Amino acid sequence: MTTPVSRPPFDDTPPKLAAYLRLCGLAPAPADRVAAAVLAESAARPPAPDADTDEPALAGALARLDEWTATLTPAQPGESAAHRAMRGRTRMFLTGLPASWPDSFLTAERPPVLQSALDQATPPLAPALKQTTMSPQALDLGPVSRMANGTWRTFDKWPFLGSVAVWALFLTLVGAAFYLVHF
Amino acid sequence: MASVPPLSAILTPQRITRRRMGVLTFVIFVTGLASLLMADLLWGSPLRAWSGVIWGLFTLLFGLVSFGAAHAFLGYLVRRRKGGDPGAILRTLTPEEVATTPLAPTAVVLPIHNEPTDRIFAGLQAIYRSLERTGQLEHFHFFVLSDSTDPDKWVDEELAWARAIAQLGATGRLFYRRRRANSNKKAGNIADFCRRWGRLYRYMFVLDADSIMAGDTMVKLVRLMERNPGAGLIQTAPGLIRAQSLFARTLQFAFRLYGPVFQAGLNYWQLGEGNYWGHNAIIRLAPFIRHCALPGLPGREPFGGHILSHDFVEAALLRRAGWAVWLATDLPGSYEELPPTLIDFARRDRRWSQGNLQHFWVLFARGLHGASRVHLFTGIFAYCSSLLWLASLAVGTLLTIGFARTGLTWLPEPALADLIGGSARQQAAALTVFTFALLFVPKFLAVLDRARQPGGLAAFGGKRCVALGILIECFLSLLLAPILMLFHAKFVLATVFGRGVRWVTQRREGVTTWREAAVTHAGHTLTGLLWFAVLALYAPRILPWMAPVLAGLVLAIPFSQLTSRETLGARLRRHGLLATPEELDPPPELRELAEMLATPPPEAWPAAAGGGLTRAVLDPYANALHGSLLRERAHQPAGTRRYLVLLQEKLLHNGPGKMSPREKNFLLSDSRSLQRLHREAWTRKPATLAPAWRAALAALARRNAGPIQPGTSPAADALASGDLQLAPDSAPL
Repeated sequence: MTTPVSRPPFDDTPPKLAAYLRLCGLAPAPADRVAAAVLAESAARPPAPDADTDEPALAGALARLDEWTATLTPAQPGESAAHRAMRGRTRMFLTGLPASWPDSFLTAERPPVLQSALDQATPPLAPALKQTTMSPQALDLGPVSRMANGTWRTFDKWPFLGSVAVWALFLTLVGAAFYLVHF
Repeated sequence: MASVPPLSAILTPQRITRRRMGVLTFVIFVTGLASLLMADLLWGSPLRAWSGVIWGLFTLLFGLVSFGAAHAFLGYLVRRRKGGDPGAILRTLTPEEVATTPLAPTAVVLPIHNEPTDRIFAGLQAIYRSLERTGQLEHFHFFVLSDSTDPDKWVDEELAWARAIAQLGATGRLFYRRRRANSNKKAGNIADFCRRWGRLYRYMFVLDADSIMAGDTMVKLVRLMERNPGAGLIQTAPGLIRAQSLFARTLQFAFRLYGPVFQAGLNYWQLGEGNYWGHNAIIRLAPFIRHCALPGLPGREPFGGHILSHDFVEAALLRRAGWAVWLATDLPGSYEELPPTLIDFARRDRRWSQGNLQHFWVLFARGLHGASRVHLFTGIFAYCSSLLWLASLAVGTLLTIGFARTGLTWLPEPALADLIGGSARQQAAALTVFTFALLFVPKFLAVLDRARQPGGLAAFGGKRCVALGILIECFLSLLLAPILMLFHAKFVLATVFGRGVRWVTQRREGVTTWREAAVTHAGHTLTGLLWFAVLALYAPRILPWMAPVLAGLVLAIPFSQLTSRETLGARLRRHGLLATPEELDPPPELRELAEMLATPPPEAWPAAAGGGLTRAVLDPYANALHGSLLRERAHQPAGTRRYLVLLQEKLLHNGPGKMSPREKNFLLSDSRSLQRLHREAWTRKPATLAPAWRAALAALARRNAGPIQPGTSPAADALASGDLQLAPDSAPL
């Protein structure tokens, strides 16, 4: 059974990064450990010249993570490093890397089974296109008289005319009854 | 067992015409008789012109009622026939063929538009697993075709899709596509699928967001298509499910109990010239692609423009091209849901009425088959008849007042009834009984038919429950009819006067508030009260006759509110009332759906931190998934880049609540913006962010203080359990 771990809210960088790493799928203890290590590594780095952030250590740590996730997927032609990192992060989640292979998190070492899982981890959005055209149908909304063409294709002529004769007889009888009563 | 001859051999043109003439003969005889009695009664009226109007309206409306009754009578007879209806498409498949006919590549497409994501994917998973159990899953691919405009729904749908893939092991079998521009609405959404991937498949199942189909049913439908190469479309008759409110449960009960005989009657005359209801149907893709791209109508909406109710027209176009369109009656395992309240029901009718009235243009289109024209006409008349009913009641009221004020009598002397020794008064009573018989005998026949089916009335909870259920249904229908009459009359007039409707999502849960009911039904109540006052003043003797109509209108507000309550529906359900076989003994698909909705999978992301756009920015998983599904734009104009940065800052400083859906969608369409927003939201001091972000981060901090839940990565759980089978990589489009 997992014991709840008490942490302070985000008034400091380490718990914030740990929370981030837990969202990535790391268990609490590895998350704390990795957060501390990454922040230490980030602090040792010189700040980027264009760094414009409230929390440079955290920014450095996230940059470090992006560098690593980018290595989880092959680059695509013309793709930016940031997009590649994003795709790599997707692969990381879809394989469950942090939870299932915590020792490989943020390292270049990958067991063959993990590498195989990573290689297959992007679900295709759709099958390969097989395009075709679908042109709107011409619809002649012509006068009512043109209905006849279609109507005679639906009805067989003789049963139809037979029925019309029966209806006419019935309506004549009805009319006659009415006439006899009122005139 | 020998193979069954094709339907074309059984259904010769002569036999088909005889069936249709049978229906028309019934309508003409019944309507003619009632019309004669009415004309005779009105003969004595000194107000000939007005009487003529009343007689004309009565004849038209009676014709419509008798057309409905003809379906029930003929449906009952054909269902009682030994061996069933020889003209049913299901009969073309023998039990041997059910097992041996090979299947063909089939796409299951689910066009969606801002519907509840949980329900969509729970339903999809139930269908998927059901197909899996048939052992024929390999022939099917699933496509969620999103036209969602709500940015939060977009993100939620992608996450739900990825989760469904992980849970089902459906990589390479379950796909998701969202359109940026929703051109031509649902018809355009499906046409877009057809243009991109239609050639990969022979058949396509079209589902709705609330559709459920059993795997066995889908497999059988594919085999029916294979067995009948002339069939372009087979429509199933979906049963209604998951109703909770009193309103919805009443309709669900009525549809389930009375529906089969009416459907059998419908199939009796339409045969291979049936209609398409837009979902829960299988379509042969090649002819659909070739013949069913919809043209625009002359003029602008609401009458012109894009065709809203595309399904009727697509069926007519398929038929025009020589393909059969069938209704598969007696095929279980096809379901849909219905709006939970009267107001939602009316909202849906508002859309449908406009769509059906547009068909006026197509009604006279050259080359359509007569049966297609009948479908289009009955669709139009379904709404226009309310206007005619209202007109007939109004003219009738004026006539009655005229008689009351002049002291004249409208009863003719002598009347037709004199011929058989009766009186005019007895003739009027007979006409009333005749009218009610036409309304209620079909229900009686439906119950009789149900009692003779396997399971009988016990499937509905037993005779007592059915009898009480029918009483409740009849009472509520009596009150509902005049309200719908006014709704429909208003919709028709609004369309005629050029007021169109927007494409809104159908609500599938929720209770009507008293305020909402009062605002919506104030006009109905006032109309009822005014009508009552006028009659009470000038013609009180007619009040008992008008009581059902007036009661419905006067009580519209409480009726609408009370029937929307799920508690009332649940109470009746506890007593076994208004129950359906699917409620009492749910099939596996519905059981699975209920379980999934009752116990949603555990999520690492706390709900309190917000969903949709908030999650796409803060959650490393949602951010990565959404961003990596976007195409990275190599070149972006400087102006666009500046605008995007402006929007990003607005989002961070003001929060998602202060952004328009258009702005949110613009940001969500740009992977660079998502990358930057993710980084900034995490690395800026919370105090510099909008309160919404601070609240989300606080929720994450609180969650971080607790134990981690399984499901941080749904795929991780699936991988660990061995459910996830990964397929070769494929680049996102």
